[in-house]
Amino acid sequence: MRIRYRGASYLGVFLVGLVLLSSKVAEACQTFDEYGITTCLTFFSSAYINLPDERRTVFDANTETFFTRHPDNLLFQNNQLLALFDGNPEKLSEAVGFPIHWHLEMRPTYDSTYDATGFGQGTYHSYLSSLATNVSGSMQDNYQPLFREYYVDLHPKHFFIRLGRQIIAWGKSDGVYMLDIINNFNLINPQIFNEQQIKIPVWAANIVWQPYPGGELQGIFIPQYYPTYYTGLQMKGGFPINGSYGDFTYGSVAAINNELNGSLGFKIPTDVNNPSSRLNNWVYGARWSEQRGSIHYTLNYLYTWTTGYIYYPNTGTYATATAVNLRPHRMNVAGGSADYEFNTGNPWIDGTVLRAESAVTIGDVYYEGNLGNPVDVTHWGILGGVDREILGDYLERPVFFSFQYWQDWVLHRNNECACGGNEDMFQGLGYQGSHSGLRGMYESLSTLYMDKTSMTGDVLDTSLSAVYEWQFHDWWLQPHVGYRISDNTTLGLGFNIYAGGKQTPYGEFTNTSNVFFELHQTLL
Amino acid sequence: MRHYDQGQSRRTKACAFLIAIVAATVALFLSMRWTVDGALADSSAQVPDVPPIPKVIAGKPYSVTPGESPGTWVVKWGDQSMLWKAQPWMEDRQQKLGPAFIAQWATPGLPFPFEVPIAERDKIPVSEIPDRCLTFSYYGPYYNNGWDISPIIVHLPDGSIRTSSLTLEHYTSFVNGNGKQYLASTDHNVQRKYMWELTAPEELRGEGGVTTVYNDPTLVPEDTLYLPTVRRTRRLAGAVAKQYFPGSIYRYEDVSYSGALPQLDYKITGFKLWDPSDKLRGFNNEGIPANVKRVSGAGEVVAIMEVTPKPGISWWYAKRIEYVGLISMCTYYTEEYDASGKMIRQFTHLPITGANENVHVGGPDGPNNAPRWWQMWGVACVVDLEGGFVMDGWIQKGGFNADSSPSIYSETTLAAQPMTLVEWLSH
Repeated sequence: MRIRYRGASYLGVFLVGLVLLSSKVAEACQTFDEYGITTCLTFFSSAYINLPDERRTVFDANTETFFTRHPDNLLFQNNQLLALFDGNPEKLSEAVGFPIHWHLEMRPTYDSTYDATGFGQGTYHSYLSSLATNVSGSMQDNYQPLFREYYVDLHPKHFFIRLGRQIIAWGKSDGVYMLDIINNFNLINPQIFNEQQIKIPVWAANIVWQPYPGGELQGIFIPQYYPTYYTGLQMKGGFPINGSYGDFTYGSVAAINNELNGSLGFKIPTDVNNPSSRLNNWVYGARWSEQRGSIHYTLNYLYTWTTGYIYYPNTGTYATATAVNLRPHRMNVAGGSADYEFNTGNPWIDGTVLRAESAVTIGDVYYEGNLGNPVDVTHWGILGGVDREILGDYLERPVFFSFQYWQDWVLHRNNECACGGNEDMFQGLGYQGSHSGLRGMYESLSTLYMDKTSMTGDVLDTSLSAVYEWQFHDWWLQPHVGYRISDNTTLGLGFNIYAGGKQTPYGEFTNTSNVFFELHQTLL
Repeated sequence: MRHYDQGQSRRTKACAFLIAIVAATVALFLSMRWTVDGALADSSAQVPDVPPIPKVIAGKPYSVTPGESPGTWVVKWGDQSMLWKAQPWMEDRQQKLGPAFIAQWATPGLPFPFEVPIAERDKIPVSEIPDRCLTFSYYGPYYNNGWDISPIIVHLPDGSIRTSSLTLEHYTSFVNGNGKQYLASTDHNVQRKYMWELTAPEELRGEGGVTTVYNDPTLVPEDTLYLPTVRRTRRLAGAVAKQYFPGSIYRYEDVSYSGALPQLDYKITGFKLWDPSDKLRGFNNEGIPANVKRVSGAGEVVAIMEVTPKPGISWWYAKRIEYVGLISMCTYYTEEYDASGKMIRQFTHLPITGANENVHVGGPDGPNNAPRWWQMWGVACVVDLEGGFVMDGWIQKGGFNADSSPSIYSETTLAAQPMTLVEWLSH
């Protein structure tokens, strides 16, 4: 309860601050030339409302029984205050002989979902309250840090060096992450597209050498591992604190949590091991990027960890496991990306951009068969995409069209597995025991994205995003409209609509299809 | 787990500190701040303090004589004449010199685009006019780079502000041999590079892009767009010259695709002594801050250029009339018409010079000592006669020859999401 009241008071502070600061004429950021500092202050609020009215069956770890309850209609109600501080210390720059810049981003958040309702997720307040705010508690330094990015930029000749906690994006694909795995995700709400909000910043030395215009060699050194975070990962006393109380808990997470909590008739204790920060546990990456004529390409290598913890049974198989250890597994990722724009003089194809990205990942871990024993795999992913502006002859502001096709092959399994049936198949995110939740050696999906701005100043932005999985036959649609009322205020309205089998990666959220609202208010 | 994390956190911080020290040390050893080869920038041409008035322009006699009242001049070209009056929004030197200020760009010995003798400028091939008089008036090819920070305000028909944005710009043209440090060995046939980034409004902060324009007009310029929400740079589908520039009612054709376009036909239909109406946006005090002094083309002899889409090409106008100054080599005004002959838009462009107090050399805090004849864009306005919207853009602070990195036109610059000119130019 103490935390609940504290959370409510934070919300009050946000709202009072919003009212006070909105009453003045706002500018986007304020620069104080005499100090060389720029500050920006923004408030962002979003609410996701469940559309289907289905009851949900979840597992109670205390009574070790399943029960059915009406779900929460308020899936997610997040409030964020974003404060940015940027500085250019001139005297220090003059002293060292090259420009220096620093950046600090503070993003306190509060999600009223876990406090504001008396049913649904609000019922599980004691389990989920740690997700409510990052001002205190376990979120603070891990997956949703209060101080998100803070770094120093150094600009010596032919170099760009960024030291500190930061986000580093790789690759040329949208929403498919083969190379772009330097920052793992906070997937408490896996429907958010704005990666600045959901990527977990990492401590890194990010060094870019620019030997000549158009060519860059980047080296990345990351001493600390932050796993992808999702509802259901929370542990207490060696056990998951809930099964699927969170509205966006993946089926596979709910299933393993329930088993650990005793759904099979006995409890299985867990422990968690993070890699230490010794040099041999660091993440190392290198990227070469260059523009050669009409082709922009990158070559990438990353010596890293699996994006999330792997659940290892102590006996090597879940058939006999008496304990589970959560730890990441080392993997090597090598690949590249490229884009190319047609410029032939033929108006039918000129302006069409082709994109490609590919990566071979050695040492990733998939859960195999019905038992779901972890198996080291080598897999190869490849993505092809095409972008084009369409209807330009008919519309003042044409439609941006983007289509991607991605496929992933498991090339090699590094250990054999007696996995209780359905060997050679791997559990997907929605797996809860059925064959329909398993993927084969081969998986593919397509994405479609269309965007159009309208009205003078491009103040109305409409978009449609779609994902379809060719093997699971499930899909996700997100239509969205954003309207910039003024320079300081933007409203958003969108839907997340899912369809497919209950154990498929997107179909599992069919009963969580929702409408969402967004408010973006610039305060300073 | 918690104790373990705390221990790890201490080690992590120690390691991060160690990395910082090592990297900074390495950087110090490697550091020798890049220098722009200033010798390449053309500041050698000598322009008299009071430039002589050309005698003949476009085959007709041209003269300037003092008017009856102070601050006025009588300008005659052929059988046309006008009374020139100083305006408070004109650059101080133009107010003081009168029409002779414009004559500085007729000085023999000036580089491209002014190298053609004034008596021959009416014979410049029409296909060269858009680049010579708009592209290279925006930013001259006689310096290594131009840069600025520019507000862009869109007004509703009732005059209130609909949107406002703040843009950082960096530009280099390679046609005079300047700026070669920004070119890769594989950059063949590149005429110019242009980079922009929005620092406001907050909703669009960090959005930016690089445009590469080629000497071959049949090649579509290459555009990249950095999207801060995904921290990634995308190749923009090309052939967008007629479309709106993001967040504004400029067209790409007004901003970065400003050369002769293969989709359009160009012809000179005549010449006139230009006496711009003070009702034209930009040619009065309306909408632009009082401290934004600029150059008026009043008293110029302008070429009247008609632009029409080629047969079968769908364009946003049926005809465009451009008024192009032959002395200052500057496109001051265009008006666009639909197929019924109705005027649908006006666009005005008033440059600023090296003598402007908002213009600096080397960086935002650099000296105000650029050659006085150097030009860059100063004010650019659009009046949408159909929708009633009006847009004003102007240079708040700008300049030449920033000490910027040869690799500034890169994804790294955009991904750093610079917030200020100082930071922008340090890349």
